[in-house]
Amino acid sequence: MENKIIMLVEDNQDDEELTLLALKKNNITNEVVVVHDGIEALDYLLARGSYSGRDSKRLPAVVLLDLNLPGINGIEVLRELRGNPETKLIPVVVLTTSNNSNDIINSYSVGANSYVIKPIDFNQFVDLLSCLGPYWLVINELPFAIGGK
Amino acid sequence: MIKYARIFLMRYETGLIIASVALVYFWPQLMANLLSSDYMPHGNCYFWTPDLVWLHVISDSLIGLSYWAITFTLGVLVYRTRKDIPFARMFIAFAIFIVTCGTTHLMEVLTLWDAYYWLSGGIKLFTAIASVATAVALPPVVPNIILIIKDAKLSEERRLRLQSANEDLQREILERKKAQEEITRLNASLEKRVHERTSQLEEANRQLRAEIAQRKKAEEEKEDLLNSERRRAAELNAIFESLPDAVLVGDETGIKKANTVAYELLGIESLEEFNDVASNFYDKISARFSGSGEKVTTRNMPFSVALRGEKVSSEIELINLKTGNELVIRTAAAPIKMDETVIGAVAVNTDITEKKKAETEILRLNETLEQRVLERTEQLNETNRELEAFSYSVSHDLRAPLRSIDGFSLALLEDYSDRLDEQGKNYLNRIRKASQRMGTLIDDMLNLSRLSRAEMKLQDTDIALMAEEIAEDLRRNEPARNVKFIIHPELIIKADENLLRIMLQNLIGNAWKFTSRREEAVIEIGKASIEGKSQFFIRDNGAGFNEAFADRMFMPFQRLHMPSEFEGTGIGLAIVQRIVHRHGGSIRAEGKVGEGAVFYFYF
Repeated sequence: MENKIIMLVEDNQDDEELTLLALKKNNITNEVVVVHDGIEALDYLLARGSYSGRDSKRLPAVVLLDLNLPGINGIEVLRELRGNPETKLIPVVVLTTSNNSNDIINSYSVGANSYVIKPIDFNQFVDLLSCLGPYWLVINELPFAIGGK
Repeated sequence: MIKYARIFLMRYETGLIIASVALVYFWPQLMANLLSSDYMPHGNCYFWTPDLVWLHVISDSLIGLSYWAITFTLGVLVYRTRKDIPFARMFIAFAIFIVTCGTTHLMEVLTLWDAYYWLSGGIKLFTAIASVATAVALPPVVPNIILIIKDAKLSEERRLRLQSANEDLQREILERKKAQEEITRLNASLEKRVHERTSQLEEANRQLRAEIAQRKKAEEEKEDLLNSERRRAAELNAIFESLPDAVLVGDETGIKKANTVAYELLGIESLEEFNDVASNFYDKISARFSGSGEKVTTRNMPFSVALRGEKVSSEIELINLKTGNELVIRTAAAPIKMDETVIGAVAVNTDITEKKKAETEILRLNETLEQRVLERTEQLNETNRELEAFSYSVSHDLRAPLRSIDGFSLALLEDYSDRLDEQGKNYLNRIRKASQRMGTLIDDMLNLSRLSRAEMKLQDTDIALMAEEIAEDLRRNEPARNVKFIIHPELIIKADENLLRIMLQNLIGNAWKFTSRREEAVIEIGKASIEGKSQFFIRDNGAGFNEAFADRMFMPFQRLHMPSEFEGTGIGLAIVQRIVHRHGGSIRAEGKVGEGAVFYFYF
């Protein structure tokens, strides 16, 4: 569990900070890879661009994906991931402020594994991550070997 | 002559009588001794010789009596024939003469025994005078008598001749009678024949009459038929003329009949104009088929097509020859068939110029309208997209900072509490509360705007069931509350289930909320007929409200209570009203401060 990577796709630095804070408050100490837009997210996961040297086999146990991203938005990122054999099985949890039902439907349509709305009350957010963390990092079985080796 | 004789006789009579009386009266001693018989009876002269006496007595008596009888007879004769017999006075003279003679003879008998010789003499004197007078009077009368006798004789001859003539006549009559009989006989046979002939003729007559009657009847029937035919023809013509459409009837030699409307529609005076192929009528009126614009010719015109046995209908544009107006007509032409043979064609032309104009106008308007609808739809879509983007932006971008505010405030409170005094912590808590409240407001606003766009699926839904569920939820959330729910069964309404649920959650939630200070709260949900309408109601015995603000309650973010009294963003009733309106319904509230509220609604 310790070596499982959490990937956070979040353009808002406040949200990034708060998410990391909430994880910390839940004592989740796993490596968190933070990328700030869609292209970066894809580059990382597909080991291309500035991440071309990266071991492409090392995939995160869960991707916390914001939808409202500059450039390529979350839905497009997800579609791209699902379209790629390397990344099509990665668990993706859409973590967003949007409670728009279209967003929920679209997310599932392109292969989201879960859809979670970020609450305004930070306490609630901490509670939320206390559920998400153990679930995706411990309970959930992954379809591929962690760390690639 | 006779006349004179008569006058003479008259005078003579008078004179005679006067003379007789005078003589008797004046004769000496006659009157004095008239009835003396002092003399010796005359029988004595006969010596009373009986035979002689009787001879005289009988003779004188017979003579006297005869004379009297004759006189009487003559008297009667004269009396009877006094008008016819001439010389009546002569007869009277004779009568007097004879009676006096007779009396003289009778006196002879008397004097045989009584000697009245004076009386006898007087009578003789009277007789003498009468005799003389008669003797004197007679001769002048003789010629008359001869004349009379002659006349009589002549009369006799005539009588004889007459008799002979009569006999001839009788004979002739007889012959005639015979002839008559013959004629009668012939007549009878003739009559019989006439009769036979008459009956034959009558029979013939009867037949003839019957035949005439029959012919007359036939004639009348024919006349009737002719009349009804004429009437029908007139009716047909009237109908033909009354048709509002231009009707042309004809055969391959051309149009034979057209009603006034047809003349007016084409602007022609006579059918020759139309039928004159050389003048090419269709060129004259610039006739073209609508749509294709193909020229109308004598070959392709609907009438000609109909003559070939086809029914055809087409729209033709043409120019009225008289007015020069451009017209659009619809021509429907059909063949006229008799026993499956086309004997002609009929074309009905309707002036659809106005209709066409109107259609064009409608088309144009429609296009404009469509264009406008398109534009409007596009505008609306654009607005919708904008609204969508806006609400998306609100839901995302407006909430994100709130999350930061709340998150970092909490981080400060938790991670830096040692460096904050109570005042600072208090402020941070206020910041958090405010940001959370703003989050709720944003959510409510988004919900409200979503309600307007949400698709509706109407179906029969039971308010009672839904209310039970909501009540259950509320009880579960606040089990300490003592609230009595009275929910009438089967409150069926045609509504979108989701929207109805949101609405009831708000209304029942409000009732729950505003009865929180009641020891024994009662919430009733039911149906009642109000102002003739079946309406649903949700009644509570909660805090109630000032009815003056009843309308305002439904405005978004309008609150009638302090947040410290009752929580809420003031969006609930706005949502309720929006849902009611989306169902085409109506809602209103009644209430009194401290006594509760009731909401009536219907869809």
